[in-house]
Amino acid sequence: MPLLDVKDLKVHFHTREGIVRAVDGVSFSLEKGGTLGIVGESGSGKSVTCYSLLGLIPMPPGRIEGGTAHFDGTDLLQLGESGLRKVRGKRISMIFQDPMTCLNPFLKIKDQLIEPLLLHTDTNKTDALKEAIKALGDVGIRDPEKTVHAYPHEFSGGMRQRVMIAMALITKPELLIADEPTTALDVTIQKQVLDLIKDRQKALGTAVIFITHDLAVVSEVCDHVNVMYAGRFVESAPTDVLFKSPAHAYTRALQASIPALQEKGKPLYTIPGAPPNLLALPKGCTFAPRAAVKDGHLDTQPPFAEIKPGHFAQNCPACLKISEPQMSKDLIL
Amino acid sequence: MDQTRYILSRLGQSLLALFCIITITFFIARLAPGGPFNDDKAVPAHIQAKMEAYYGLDKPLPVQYIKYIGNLLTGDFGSSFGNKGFTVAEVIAQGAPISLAIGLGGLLFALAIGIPLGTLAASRKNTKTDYFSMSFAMLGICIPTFVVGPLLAIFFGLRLGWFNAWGWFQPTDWILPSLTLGIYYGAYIARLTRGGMLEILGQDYIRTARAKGVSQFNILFGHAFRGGIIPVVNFLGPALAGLISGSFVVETIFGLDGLGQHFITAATNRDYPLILGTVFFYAVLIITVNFLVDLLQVWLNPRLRAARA
Repeated sequence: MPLLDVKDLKVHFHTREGIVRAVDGVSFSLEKGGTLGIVGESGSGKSVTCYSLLGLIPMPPGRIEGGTAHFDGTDLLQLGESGLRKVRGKRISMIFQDPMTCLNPFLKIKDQLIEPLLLHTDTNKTDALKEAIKALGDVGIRDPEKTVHAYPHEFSGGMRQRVMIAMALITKPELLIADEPTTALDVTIQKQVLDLIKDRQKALGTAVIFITHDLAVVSEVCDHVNVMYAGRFVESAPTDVLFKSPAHAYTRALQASIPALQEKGKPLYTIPGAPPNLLALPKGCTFAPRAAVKDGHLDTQPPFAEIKPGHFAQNCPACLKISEPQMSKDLIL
Repeated sequence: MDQTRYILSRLGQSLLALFCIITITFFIARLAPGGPFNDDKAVPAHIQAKMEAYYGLDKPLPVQYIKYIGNLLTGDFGSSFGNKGFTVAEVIAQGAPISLAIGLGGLLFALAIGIPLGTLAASRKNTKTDYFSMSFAMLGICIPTFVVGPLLAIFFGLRLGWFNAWGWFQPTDWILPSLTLGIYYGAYIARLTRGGMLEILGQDYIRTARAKGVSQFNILFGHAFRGGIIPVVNFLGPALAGLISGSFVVETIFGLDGLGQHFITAATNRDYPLILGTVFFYAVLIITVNFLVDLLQVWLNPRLRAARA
């Protein structure tokens, strides 16, 4: 049985302008200790997917319209606030994008670090502090006996993300959701933080979901990747398969956007246009307006189908037609 | 060490401010038309001259100023013109306890009303609770104290008979005047608290706390309160100044012989020594309160502590 099994999750926001279908029928599963990537542009619904599992989206206006999310046998979507509170920070932890704003500036590091222990375990304050010092040492913070008494503003961004990781893992959760954990960091620090997450994952046997828009991050850490676009998955495959033979036009376009893979001295490739307005999604294939191949897109919702064993994609014939988008002149801006 | 130096420099600044306030007040009071002995009835010129000579008002202004400052340094505030037979110090000693009592009482009510109301409204943003609390706060701000005061006096004083509707006789007589002041300032504090708490509740680190499994109550009071209350702390200085020096209307409504009364009548009667004495008293009070508020802010906000070190 997988650790997490999400089926047909639908999260909609009911706003004055209309219904925003932020997540519209998403399914995925994750084994114990596995690593899953969810990739997509800003606003594709990847964060909302994960936040809704823990009841962290504002409700209202958000509403979970359907689906199930079985975590170790219990449906998270049916737990309710008090039930979820026992899961958050204990069995499923999160780290976020901007470490500069994610730690409370008014509270000492130690108070924030030991809080999950005090909330979810029988540990007393003295022992919790000892564990906090050990946890800080484990994430590579020097002199943890002293720094544990510091305030967040005395730390750099990379150090704070280390503190966030220590805090998220202090209860040894079964699942860690990392929401763009490296986006706000320097490139040199990014690598260190990714290595740290991998290292801690190995030590604790935690499963990890990486939410990111950076395919390079995914290629480095994930076993399996889901590519998300306009609230739906457009492709899902093991990492090496996805990178070697991307099937969907959007995945190929994302891959073509990685600066390191492009020719030097040429303008960088970008995907033309912007993600569609979720209030007024195009009928049928949502990627059609931005795709290089203009003809032959489905005008009904394309099915998410297994195109090769273990390799799933949104089955729109035009999107699946290999057209080498990075070569197409009209796409190079 | 740093702390001592900071306090000493603040003390020096305060003394300088105090000196400026006294000087400016001295000359402004003198520049205002009229004098202490201009009465409805015309006073014969030779009598007026004699009275002015008695109080030293016939000398050139700079001479009077230097003499006043000299006396002030020895702790002598002079005699009140309007309250015959009383020194300024005696008038202040008599009025200040009343004003301080209703002012501090007012602050107590204001905080007791404003902070819970504002926190409740922020935690239930855009619900009926929020709208109800904020409508109440708006009413409190809009209805002037000279309406609220008499209404409280009629209801609690005359109808229910719980308190005296007028005067300063019993130990409970501070309650109605303080409540009158407290409703106005409490309404304002409720709005400040709501704004401050909402700002903090929208921060990323509140989401972090929720993701850790912290309950709504602990998010409000463990994680958000210290930051959310900062606008209220900033407002405490001006609020206390307004509560203590601006209590003239409330003192009038409830027939209290407080300092607010003396302050206003001294100004209208050109009672120069009493004007200066009350201004001096209020200035010391406000400077002290602002200093305490600064210390409180630093204590609340660790980032400020780092900035000073």
